[in-house]
Amino acid sequence: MNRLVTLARETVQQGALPGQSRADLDGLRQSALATLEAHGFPDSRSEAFRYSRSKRLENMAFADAPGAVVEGATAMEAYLSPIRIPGAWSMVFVDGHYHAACSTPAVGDGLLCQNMTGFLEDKRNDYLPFPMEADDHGWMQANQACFSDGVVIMAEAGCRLEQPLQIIHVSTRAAAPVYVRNHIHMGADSHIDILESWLDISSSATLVNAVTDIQLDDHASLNIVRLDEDDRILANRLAHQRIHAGTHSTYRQHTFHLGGSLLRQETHIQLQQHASCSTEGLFMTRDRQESGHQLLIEHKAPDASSQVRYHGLADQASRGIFQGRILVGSHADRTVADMQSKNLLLSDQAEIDAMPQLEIHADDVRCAHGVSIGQLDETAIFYLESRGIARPEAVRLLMAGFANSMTDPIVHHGLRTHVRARLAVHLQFAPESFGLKP
Amino acid sequence: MLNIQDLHVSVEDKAILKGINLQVAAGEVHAIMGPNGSGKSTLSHVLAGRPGYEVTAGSIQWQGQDLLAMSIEDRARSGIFLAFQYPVEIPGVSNIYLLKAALNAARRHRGLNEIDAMDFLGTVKEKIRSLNLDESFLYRGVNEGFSGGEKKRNEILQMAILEPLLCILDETDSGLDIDALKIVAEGVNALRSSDRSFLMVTHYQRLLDYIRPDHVHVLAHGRIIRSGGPELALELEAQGYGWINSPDAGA
Repeated sequence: MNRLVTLARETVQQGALPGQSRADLDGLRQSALATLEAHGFPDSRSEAFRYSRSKRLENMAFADAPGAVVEGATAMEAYLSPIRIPGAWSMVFVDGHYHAACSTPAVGDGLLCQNMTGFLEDKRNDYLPFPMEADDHGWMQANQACFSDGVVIMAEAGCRLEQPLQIIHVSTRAAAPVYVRNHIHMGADSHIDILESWLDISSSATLVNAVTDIQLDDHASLNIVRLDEDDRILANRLAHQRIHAGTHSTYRQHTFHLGGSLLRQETHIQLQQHASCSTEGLFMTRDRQESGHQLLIEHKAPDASSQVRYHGLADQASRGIFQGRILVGSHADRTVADMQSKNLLLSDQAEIDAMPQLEIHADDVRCAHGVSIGQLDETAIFYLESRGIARPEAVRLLMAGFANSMTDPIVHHGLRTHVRARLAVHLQFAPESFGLKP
Repeated sequence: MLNIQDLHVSVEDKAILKGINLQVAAGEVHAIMGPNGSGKSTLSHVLAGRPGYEVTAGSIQWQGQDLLAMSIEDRARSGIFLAFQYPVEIPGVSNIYLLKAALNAARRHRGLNEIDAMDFLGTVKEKIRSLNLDESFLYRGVNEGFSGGEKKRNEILQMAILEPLLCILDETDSGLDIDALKIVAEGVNALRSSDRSFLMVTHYQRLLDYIRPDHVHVLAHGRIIRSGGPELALELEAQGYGWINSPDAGA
């Protein structure tokens, strides 16, 4: 038995997890644990994990070392302030537990915005927002069994939030794996912009596993930007998003993996009639980092559209993985789908595995996909040199531009500006340097 | 200012230029004309320092220096500007960032301070209006999604900001409609001065209707086979390049 499964069993058996006093929820946790114990975590025999080194996480050691001990809200705020969006609502989680003193949950007519633990402890709620599906893999079972907290957002019909909501997760110590569970239900015609910021200030390797269930009702729209802020090589994060996009709804997701040891984003979207989704992402890896993007978009009904666009930059001995699959059902006529993955290999040791896949069972569709893996364009380097910019700077500028162009499609002005500024810091450019109209 | 002596250039062991001699003095406008494949673009790329071109013989003196020993960026910083036939798109890097980075690189080279941000913006906005480009161009990715004509005007904008000493226009007229051609020509003419020289590489005579050259050279089979005044361009227009029928014609 591997260490993570043992830890999961101990955690569930202690009976101190949120909502565990409720028999129904405890039953869900116990059943997920049993499945995990029976089947374990997926390995390279599973297509979705074929290129991943995630197996090594199963026996990772969790140090008891205290790591960065952050006492009180003021000390924590010192870490948070550089990555905060001014004026945004915020929910802060430290090592998987809600930090109320640093949070300003969103307030609005018809809006519930609460941490998961608080939601489950509220006796008025008998709703259990934890759908599981038959093909859920071990990481999701572990999450179901062990989640400690997360965000619950329920927007009633017509609820539109002006200011974005920033959800910040900070890892400060590596005492145990962290399981985060989020639930978002967007009522008809509601709208929210969310930025998820992930930060690691610990001193040894950490593991975070997050599952987010999202339901979009008719004409709802949700924009989620995920930004892995830190460039340390201690963080291991696996995320799984499940999105049910109702008729005429719009879902946009932008993922920026700027560092971390092993980052993995799985996204499963089901589109109903006239729904549209765009999933875009950037990864920049170096050392022995791994960034994986695994995507399944199902067109379940006619007239839906999906757009997928990923940019990858892999340096040194790092690895980038893009597995995108668009499945167009037999009744999903007039589907429009486009999937593009552009990658730059910056070293001989780096590896990029890019697999776009279209599976089409309908006749009347417009679908396209494309993948490129290459080096920086020498003509572009010469162009910049011929403008007086020396080669090292030209290379840096081209890489920055390649990365930065993934911020263009972020719809919310404040989020776009914030991500650009953070990206500039990460790329060691002055924050204003890209000069693109915000 | 520029002195090219017996320049031989090969690309992948194939001789393209076979003994070019050309002198450009300050303030002069030279047109290099010739049929496709004559080596016109090779000449402009060699001057800018593009990799992949091997100089097998000859020399190029630029302001008393050995140009061929200079790096690409130092050529640019010392005042050589190549307006590309096919300007490159660089998504994610704004036009204004590139303009400023290029200008400051040249200023540092001359021992000047970096330009004041407000002065710079003022200058850029003035130049961009004169080229009939929208201000929003400044904040878009370099050449990203620009039309052919917009890309060429953007090259002229860069030239106007950088104020080079030698402007090399590589087939700048190709792909331009007559209105765009006029705007580009006006931009070039506005830059003409007694200390700035131009080398215009072109297949067609029509650009020369708008930018009147002092000297016209016909390049064919890797050599300049005729030189003359502006009237030579008209003669070529009337006769075409058909009379250049063998590698030794006029040599």
